[in-house]
Amino acid sequence: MEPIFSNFISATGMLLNANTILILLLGVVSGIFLGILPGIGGTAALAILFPLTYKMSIGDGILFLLAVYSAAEYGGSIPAILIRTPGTGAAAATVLDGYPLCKKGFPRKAMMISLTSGVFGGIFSTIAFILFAPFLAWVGLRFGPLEMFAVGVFGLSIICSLVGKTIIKGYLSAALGALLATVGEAHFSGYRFTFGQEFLLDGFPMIVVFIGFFAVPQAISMLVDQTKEIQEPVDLKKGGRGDFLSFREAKKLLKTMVRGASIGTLIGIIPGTGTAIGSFIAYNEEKRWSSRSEEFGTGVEEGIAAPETSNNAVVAGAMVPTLTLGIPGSSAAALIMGLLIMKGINPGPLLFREQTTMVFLIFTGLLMANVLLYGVGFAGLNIFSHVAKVPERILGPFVIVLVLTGTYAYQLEPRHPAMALGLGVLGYFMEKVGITTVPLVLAFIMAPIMEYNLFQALMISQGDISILYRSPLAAFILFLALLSAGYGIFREKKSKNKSKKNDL
Amino acid sequence: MSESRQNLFIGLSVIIGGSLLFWNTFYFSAPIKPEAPGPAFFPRIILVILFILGISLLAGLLVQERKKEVVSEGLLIHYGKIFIAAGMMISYLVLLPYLGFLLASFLYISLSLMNRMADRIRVLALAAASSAFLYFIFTELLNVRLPHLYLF
Repeated sequence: MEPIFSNFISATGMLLNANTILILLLGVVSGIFLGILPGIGGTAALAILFPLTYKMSIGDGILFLLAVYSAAEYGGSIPAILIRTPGTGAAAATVLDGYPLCKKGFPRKAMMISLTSGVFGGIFSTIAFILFAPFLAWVGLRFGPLEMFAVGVFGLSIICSLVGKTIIKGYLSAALGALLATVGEAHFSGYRFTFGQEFLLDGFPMIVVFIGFFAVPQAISMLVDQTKEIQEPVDLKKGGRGDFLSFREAKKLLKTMVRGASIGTLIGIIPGTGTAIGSFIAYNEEKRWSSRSEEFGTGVEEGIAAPETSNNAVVAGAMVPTLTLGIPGSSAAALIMGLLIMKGINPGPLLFREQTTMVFLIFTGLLMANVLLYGVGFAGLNIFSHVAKVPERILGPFVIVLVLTGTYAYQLEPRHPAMALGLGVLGYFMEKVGITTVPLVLAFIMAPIMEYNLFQALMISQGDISILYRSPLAAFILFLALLSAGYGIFREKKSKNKSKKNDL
Repeated sequence: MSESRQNLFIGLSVIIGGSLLFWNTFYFSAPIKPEAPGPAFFPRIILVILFILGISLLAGLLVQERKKEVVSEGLLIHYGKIFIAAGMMISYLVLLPYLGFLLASFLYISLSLMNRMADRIRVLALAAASSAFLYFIFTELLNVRLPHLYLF
């Protein structure tokens, strides 16, 4: 406990300087703004703002992205409450009770519940992260290259089983991502899939893949897809009597927030799940536990607090497998992991031994980002409600220019934005045919690490492939990967049967 | 395009593309040690997995019940609009080094907004302001040298 405390104190000391606080503040404000804009989720917000981290130090860059991620999740709830249009996928659950409460004449109260519970969720899961992550890293340190390879397979398998329309398409996306990662110079000798093209010798830069698959498809969708006309947001000044969240009311919501935060933290730890799953599970569980379950959907406070606590709790939860095992807990966490790799830091169990200060800077930064989020969110209630008026259709060109310039700015290489554009068009079509790009990007990041570990293991075994099932731990982890694939098939079959029954 | 046609297209593309890439792996360099896996080892594993997935996708079509499929609005692909949008983005990237960031971005944003907003003055003002804003962010805050013309 003592090292945790002393590390925490030294990280706090590092954070308390004007520059870092300003960066966190910038992250919070821009995260809220991008979260509010419908069509731009938390991950796209991170991908769009990713280029701003090039000139930042590694610590500042990570803190900036974490602040954006946390704030975007809150920002997404604002249009969900005011105009019944969720800004992020996770905020779709907030619409169910947020909008009815707003229509009853309590828009400010609904937004304050969302803000308070979101900040509570963020702080709760960060504390859980501080307590549990070192233990998971300690376990990870006992793993050899073979076990780490098995952990990678397991992580990818879970991601493919949970994300996407069908399990085959989930695995297909991951396999394409892994294949994309093999382009260019190989780890140990020679080049692969360069087809004599000079620009492929270095492979696909991470930033190009991030922007190409997460930001460009969103922008293309804004440009070409039918978008809903945005309705006029409810004027906060017209709120009825008692349109604020009193301390007593917040205290009443405490149990709901603890439940939501616990669910969010656990969901965040499962690789690839993300905030949307967390918020819907928390909403359903709250409905099940509540004595007012039949009133859910009519503007019940718990119906806003549960999903909002959960989706912000996912943020720190997702950082646990990302930092301890090198498996991204969510697509947004994959971007943060990407930044670490780009700056020369390898996430994984060794991070906790070799970069303790960095790890505690992330913990403390998350806490600070949540405190700032509360202040900024509270002070800007009126301003943010106006941002929700910005129609999606006029944002597309602006986002395109921003992300393409951002890709160019990485190495001042004109072919990078062209590559991002090409991948973006591919990503757009993939999403349209039901192949989600989340496993692709996650596999792109994890594949080189998995290949390296497999190579190490095979070198140790003198090229004997049977080592894969001769190590009991690795075999067990690979068995878990198979189980997760089996679960994915079962889940898909169940949902197909359900839709068949509905058709009848 | 219906879902089964999409799956047929994806399955065939994966199998054909995967086979071509697999063939390409035979041209990779040899391993550094005879007992070590070479650069082709890992891509071949992935390509075999891809091949199996492609076959599974096609096999799924054979066992699938035949019924009329309705494509929801969210999944509709507007090829014409995509073609125009992609053409404009490619033109933007091609013209960027010649016109400079400010002029190219101003033209791209204003042309993209023309059919979305009725008020032309507002479109031009918005395009000018957002181009200038992005120019300021990248050149002043991030010290990135963007392509520029003599005047811009």
